[in-house]
Amino acid sequence: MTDLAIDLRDVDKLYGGAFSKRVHALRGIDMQVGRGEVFGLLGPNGAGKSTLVKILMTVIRPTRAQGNVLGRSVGHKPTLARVGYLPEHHRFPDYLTGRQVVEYYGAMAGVGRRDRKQRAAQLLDFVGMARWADTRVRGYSKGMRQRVGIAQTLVNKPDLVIWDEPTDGVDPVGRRDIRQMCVELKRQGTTVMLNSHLLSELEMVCDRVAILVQGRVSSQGTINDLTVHRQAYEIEVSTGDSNIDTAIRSSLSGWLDPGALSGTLPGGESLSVTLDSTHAPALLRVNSAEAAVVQPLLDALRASRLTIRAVKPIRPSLEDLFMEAVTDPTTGQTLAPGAKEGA
Amino acid sequence: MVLTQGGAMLLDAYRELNAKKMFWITLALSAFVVLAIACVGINDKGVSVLWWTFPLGVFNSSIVSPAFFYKFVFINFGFKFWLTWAATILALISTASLIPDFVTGGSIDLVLSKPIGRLRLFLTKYTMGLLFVGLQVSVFSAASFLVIGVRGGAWEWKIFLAVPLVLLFFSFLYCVCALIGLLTRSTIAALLLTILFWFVIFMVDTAEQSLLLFQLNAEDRVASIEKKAAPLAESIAKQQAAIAQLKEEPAGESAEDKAKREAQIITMQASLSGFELRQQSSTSSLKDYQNSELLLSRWHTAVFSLKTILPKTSETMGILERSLTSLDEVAKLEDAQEERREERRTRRSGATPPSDGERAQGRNGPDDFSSAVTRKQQEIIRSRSVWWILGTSLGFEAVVLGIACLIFSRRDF
Repeated sequence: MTDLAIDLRDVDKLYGGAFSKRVHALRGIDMQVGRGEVFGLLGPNGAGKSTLVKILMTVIRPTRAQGNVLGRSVGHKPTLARVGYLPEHHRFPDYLTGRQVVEYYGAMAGVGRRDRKQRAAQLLDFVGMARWADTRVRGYSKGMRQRVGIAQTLVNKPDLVIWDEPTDGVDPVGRRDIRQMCVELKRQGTTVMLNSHLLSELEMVCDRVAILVQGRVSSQGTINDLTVHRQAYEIEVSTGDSNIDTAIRSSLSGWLDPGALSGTLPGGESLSVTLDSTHAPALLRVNSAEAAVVQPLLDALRASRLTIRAVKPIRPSLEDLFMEAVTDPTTGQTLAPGAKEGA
Repeated sequence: MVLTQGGAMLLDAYRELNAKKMFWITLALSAFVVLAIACVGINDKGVSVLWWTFPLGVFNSSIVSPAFFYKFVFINFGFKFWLTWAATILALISTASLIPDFVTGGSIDLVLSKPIGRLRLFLTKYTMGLLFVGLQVSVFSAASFLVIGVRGGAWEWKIFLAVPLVLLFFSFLYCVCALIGLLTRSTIAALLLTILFWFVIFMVDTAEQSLLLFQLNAEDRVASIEKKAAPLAESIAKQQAAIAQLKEEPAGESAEDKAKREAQIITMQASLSGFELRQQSSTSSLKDYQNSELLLSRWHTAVFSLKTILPKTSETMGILERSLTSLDEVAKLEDAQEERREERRTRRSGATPPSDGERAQGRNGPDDFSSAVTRKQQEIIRSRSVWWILGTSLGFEAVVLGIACLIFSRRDF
């Protein structure tokens, strides 16, 4: 058995045809989700996240797709009995109660009568809806529907759950609850795939993320892997009454390029200095995640009697990664939302 | 798993129909219709409603048996009016939203993501729509069976034929409703276009039956003219022979005799002219009717071909009437009704009533169809095989459902 819950290769989706506008929603997606991990799928509007999820759930037919979901090829219907899915804009029959919703979708997933009745009660309690279990869905708030939606994804004891915007319309307490559910599911060995715009929340729970931009995976990996090359140390330095520019240049003369406020450390790490004025503190930035790299620099600064006010490790947030992914490197402009038209 | 999923969908369909209230409203109306039928009775004086008796022409137990009367009321009121029209419209209103609601975004995603094939999913949902009608007709038929048995004294099991027949009839319309609902995702569009389609079928059916009647009438006229043409030709020949004989001048004929003979010739020639005129008119009419017959036959064939590929809703419902009543029973009732009408007409005008033969053959003008022609039309319609009626209609349903299944299976939701 493979260690991957989802292993996608070259997934392509082209919408439209002879009589309608052609939209290339997915352009050869390669993506891997390990078993038992919490995986975040990010991307701007129209990047193809929902299309990709719908392909996994057989709601949409791919133009081309290779790969597996839980060890079976994409589109294999019986495998879906081991998957729980919460669509973004789900709509439950409003004549059903919360309990009936969970039981109905449990039955559709092939769960036996006794099991689903038992599971429905447990899960409604798990998502905090036990009190409202026998109230019709039409009387629920959006957050309550979301909680029932999450419960129905778990009724078949899935190996993989895919939640599309699970915190949409949920209050802060509910969001925390959902995060805890993710952690609990991970503890039980369930793979969780989250599709959300709330990057800070994803950052809190996800082991790995993939960023989709205009139908392609722009980057994927653990948040640490993705940020390691962007990690840095910032050192805030000041002097008494003397000129800080002169002091810095003198102290770091071995590393700074002649006449410049930037240079390279012996290990190849770049160093830059930001000066606002001659008496304000200076900010040194070393592009390295290794604390050892900074030490000689600190020694040199101390030797020059400069005051080290702060040393901060800088780690880009998921939002920084996301913004970098959705920014056109040539123009510096944020990419327009939506998929690319044409083949 | 198949049973679990099927059971869940069945339960869901019941809950959906239950939530719509229309299910219970229709059932209550069905109960009202059956009770209304049960309140009507027949005795030797006429038709009774509860404890009042109304003398209604032929409707008394001396002409119509209670069993036939109840079957007649069930077919014409319970079946043809209630089940075929009113209950069907209510059923369409109730079920038209099933497919559009089912394929709405957010709802369809949840079921498609379950381990169930699209084809099975769609066909199960479609069948659940028919369940509404199945339950309604079953309850209605059972109640009608009891009413006819208790009040009419005939335990007519064939009444339960209404269940499959109404289901088939409804399915011919519902497949179109499902296809439109799937394509447009709009309940209103599905409902209105299905009713429009039903109207088109009704129009084609009416056109076919009318053309058949006109064609048979033209055939009847041709036969009638041809029948009269031979004696007329014989009369002309005789007249011509007589004139020719009179024209031969006998030897030694007096002037007075000659004048008489010539006067007789003139009279006979005038009579011959009359005969010839009638023959010309008859020949002209014959040509007209033959042309009409040919034209009507072509049009009838064309409309009949169109009707063949469409579902035959009225004929499907007619199968029950065929099974429950014989043509003789219907003819007997029609004759009795016609007799009463003639009597009333005669009483008003003061003329002598026509004989049975005259009534059977008689017509008041070229547009008035003889009862023999209408009876022949009914015979032809009733002689159409059940296999043709249901086979071609089911063929249509299979094609429409096939298209819907193909669209549902291939569509990205």
